[in-house]
Amino acid sequence: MKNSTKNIIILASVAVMLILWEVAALRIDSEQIMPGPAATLTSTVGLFGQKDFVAIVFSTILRGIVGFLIAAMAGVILGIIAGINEGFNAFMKPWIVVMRSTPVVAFVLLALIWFSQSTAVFIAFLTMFPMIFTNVVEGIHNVDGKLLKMAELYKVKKIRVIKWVYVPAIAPFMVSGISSAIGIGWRAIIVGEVLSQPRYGIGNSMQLAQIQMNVDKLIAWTIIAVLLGFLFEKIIRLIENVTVKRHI
Amino acid sequence: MLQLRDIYKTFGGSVIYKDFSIAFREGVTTCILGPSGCGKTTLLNIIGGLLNPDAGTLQGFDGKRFGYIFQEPRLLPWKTVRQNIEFVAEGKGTDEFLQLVDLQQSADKYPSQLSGGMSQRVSIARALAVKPDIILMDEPFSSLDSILKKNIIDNFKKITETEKKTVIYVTHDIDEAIMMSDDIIVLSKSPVKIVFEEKDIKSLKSDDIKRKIVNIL
Repeated sequence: MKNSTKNIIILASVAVMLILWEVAALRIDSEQIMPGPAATLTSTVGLFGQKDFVAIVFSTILRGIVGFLIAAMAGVILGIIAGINEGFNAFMKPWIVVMRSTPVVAFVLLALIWFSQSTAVFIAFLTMFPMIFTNVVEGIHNVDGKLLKMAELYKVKKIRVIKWVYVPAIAPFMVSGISSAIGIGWRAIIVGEVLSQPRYGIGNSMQLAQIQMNVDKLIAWTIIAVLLGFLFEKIIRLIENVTVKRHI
Repeated sequence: MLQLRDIYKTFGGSVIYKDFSIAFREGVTTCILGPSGCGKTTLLNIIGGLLNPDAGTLQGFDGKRFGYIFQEPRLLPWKTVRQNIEFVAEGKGTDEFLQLVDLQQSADKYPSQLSGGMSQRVSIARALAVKPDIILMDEPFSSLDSILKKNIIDNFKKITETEKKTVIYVTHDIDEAIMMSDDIIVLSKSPVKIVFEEKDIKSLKSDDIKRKIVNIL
């Protein structure tokens, strides 16, 4: 299918979404419960003018970045070790299963008791780490055995094999893990903020809007969160194109 | 003389080598011929130190440096030709070896931009760049067409003869073996035995050698 045709379909889909929203708003007929797209857009634009807007957005992004960096560092390093060493991989399995299958809200409630202020960072780590770790392990298991054998025969140092063979080979897996981790982690951070109520954060701004029955503001913050999530995804894709350019 | 003596090696319960001994002259190319699956690669792995025999000894290999050329070039796809050589020969210089295989123009190309023959020449340059005492080769030319094969073999022989390298080389292609080697050893299947051995085959008629080997195989 041509790109231009695809773009038209995407635009049509967005238009259908907005029409359904407008129809629902007209039917409910209450700005307080269901504001229409136009009112929400006004609220969203209005948020930019709010005096602590930058502090709120920046705080949430910072939590995301800190959580992400810790998760990515731990995920990549431990993932590489687990990919190479079967014993360590077996050791990590129960940890990963626990992290993946425990509901995010359970971690949030526990983290509120344990960390209070750093809850969102902790949640970001717990949701992102298993994804990055699992993808890195999978990437390592997909490394061409013949290249490894060649390196072994030539007695190339292990650290050099990691840098020259493993890292480039797992890079596409790593980027795909990071990209899905950011999608899920970003949403988890906001849930964490709703419950932990830090001074600034998109999550608690959303909750404040909900308490005050400012539905248009609640949706406006949601739109900001979605746009930021989309922006991060694009940045990751850009980094992928620049760094993971494989010449195969 | 490089020697393996009274080698015993089993794989998954079946005996591959039993009281097996073999010797190689240094500074020449020895070709090991034998049917597929007779354990030729296992022998190279034992010589290269990647596999330990269950019993037996290796003599003359201590402290020797090895270069390897495989059936497929085994190049890192995300690294250039020059980097592929640097990968195994850190800090040993790459240009002179690229020149030996006539690839200095392609130093900054990636493996995907090379033909099969060029890739195999990179793997030859890589093997030479580690300044090996012994080069081990496992069916290195089997994926090349005959004209290219002859070119690469001529080139390779020129290099190894000038530099007096010891080359131990396995194949199942009789013509290639005769073209390549000074000495030929023919092996039979499990447990492996030497069924034919001829030194300095260059002084003999290649047709005679070929007939003898065909009769045995």
